[in-house]
Amino acid sequence: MKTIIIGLGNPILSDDSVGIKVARILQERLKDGIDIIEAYAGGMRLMDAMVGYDRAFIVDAMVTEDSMPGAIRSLCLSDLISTRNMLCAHDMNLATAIEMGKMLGLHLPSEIRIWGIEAADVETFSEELTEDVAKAVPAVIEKIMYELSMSNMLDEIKT
Amino acid sequence: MSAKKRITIDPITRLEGHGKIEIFLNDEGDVADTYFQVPELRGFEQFCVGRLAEDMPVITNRICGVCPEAHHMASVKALDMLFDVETPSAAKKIRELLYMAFYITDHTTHFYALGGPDFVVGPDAPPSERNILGVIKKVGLDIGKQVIDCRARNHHVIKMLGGRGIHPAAGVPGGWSKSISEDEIKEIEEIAKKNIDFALFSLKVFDDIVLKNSAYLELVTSDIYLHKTYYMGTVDDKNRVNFYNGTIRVVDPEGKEFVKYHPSEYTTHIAEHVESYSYLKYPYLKKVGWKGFVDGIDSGVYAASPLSRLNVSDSMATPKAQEHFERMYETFGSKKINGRYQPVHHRLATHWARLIELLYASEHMLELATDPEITSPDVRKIPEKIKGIGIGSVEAPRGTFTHHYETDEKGVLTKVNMIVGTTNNYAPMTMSIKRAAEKLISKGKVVEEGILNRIEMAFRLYDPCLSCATHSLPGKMPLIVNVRDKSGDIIKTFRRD
Repeated sequence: MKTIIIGLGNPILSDDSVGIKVARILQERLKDGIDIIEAYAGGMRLMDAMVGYDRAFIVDAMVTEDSMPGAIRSLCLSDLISTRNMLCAHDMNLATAIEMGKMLGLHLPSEIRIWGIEAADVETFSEELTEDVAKAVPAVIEKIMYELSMSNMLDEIKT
Repeated sequence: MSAKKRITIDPITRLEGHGKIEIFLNDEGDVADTYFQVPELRGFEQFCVGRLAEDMPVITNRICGVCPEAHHMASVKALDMLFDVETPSAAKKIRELLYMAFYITDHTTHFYALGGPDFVVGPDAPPSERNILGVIKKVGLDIGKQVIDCRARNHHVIKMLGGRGIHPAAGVPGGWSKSISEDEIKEIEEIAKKNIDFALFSLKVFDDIVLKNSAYLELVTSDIYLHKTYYMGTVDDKNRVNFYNGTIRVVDPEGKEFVKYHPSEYTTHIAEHVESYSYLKYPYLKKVGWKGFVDGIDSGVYAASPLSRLNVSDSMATPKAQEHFERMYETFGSKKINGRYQPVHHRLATHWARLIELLYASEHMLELATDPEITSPDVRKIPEKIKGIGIGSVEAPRGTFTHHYETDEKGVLTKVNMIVGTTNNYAPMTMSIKRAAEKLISKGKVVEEGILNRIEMAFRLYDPCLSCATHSLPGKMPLIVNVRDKSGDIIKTFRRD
């Protein structure tokens, strides 16, 4: 199963960069077999990045204000809540972009999992995460690693 | 004392979630005031001060994932001045070539995904259909393929020239870090030809769907979104539209040149008005003065948009774009005075202007791709001194875009200021929203989705980029909106900490 992991967000906007930071650490931990990229905009650009893959994991900050900063949620595209950067203000949200891509016959992932991390500050320019969000980084990495190892096991059973 | 009723459109359907319009009604149910709110991003100047100025092209292009190319270009041009270095001609052309590819992707996306659906699917269609999927359903699958292909081939050019994908990195003070090979330019030439075909096709779509539909034509040419303001844009030495370089020209509402200045003189000509209800700063023409959110020759409000760029120019620099430029002004019945058309004030014409710019960018891309100098290896002059101040500007798709840096003698930043494209249009957007609301809401009748969308259409035409427009606001002031009655007393405060 060809998998891509996408760290989404603005690398210089405090907690908005959490997805990017997770992607950079995964880049070191996962040597090969899985593509890991950083992305800075949602919508069509994000859809473009997923063309040719069977499965996509997206890691992004979210602001729901009903969770504590650092809380991690696993979401899918059909969920009504969204993370911060799935929508591109200049084209469309990711769900619409994916629908369009499928309409046009592009090969897009059948499975899209989104890891949303509740942010405390997404309005101050900084390369640092706030404390609670920084603490969530190893946890979300473990969740993704676990997910990947489970699916590897399943693949082995299948073969 | 009378309380006002508040109607909020939130979230704005196709704008980042935090943008918010508020409309205040009086006792009669008519519009009293409208406000346009955007989120505040803090501390960009503090983030930059103390860093090396030469890092700015790769820092500023991270402010926004949508128009990093515009930040990159304004930034390298500011550095050219800061390091007092004359960029070789070939490098300027490579920068411009990348910039044309960027414009083509940006204008294409806006027309097909944001602005176009209002016309192609209709302003009264439900929001779930009023998007690119609706466009594809109405016009056909081929249009979607063309949009995807156009974006893909031009992103490929940006990557080829810029060194990486979304965030170009090849711009350096005094030039460009790599030259173009013969093979690469051949490929770009073919892409440019396809872009011209695509731009002509897009103008035909506009023609068939908007101009040939009497209801839409009436909407575009009606006074719903009409404002007689000043206009700003960059022009070349023949007063033609130029996105990358030139002088800033401002024309008055009659189309007469008001001022023409070098981008580095912007502080002489532009001032910023502050309203007590908002932290937003509204740029205006200093020499005319701030008279409020009003039209006319005595009001310093100006717009900087695709339509503004055409309004300040005598002509387009490429032949096919020139034909369409003339057609647009003729359609609006604009008269020629001293050899140039009088401005079109109908703001929905901005969508048309954007497509004319798409065609110009495509034609100019081909000109650059077939210029023998473009493959010259002479693409960099090494800077030898530091002037201490650098100001650079380009036309971003959303308006005139200025970066201003000051440094110490080692090139360490001591001051950073930016006026991004969208900021120029804060006052006109506020006016367009109010005008639309006044025309479309009366006696409290406001509920139909189509009506609300027409209000959104008023600012969507400016294609505002709110994420980078609010980058440079000072301090930690939270967003506060006060509601005032006719006597000026606050009856309610909205606050976002």
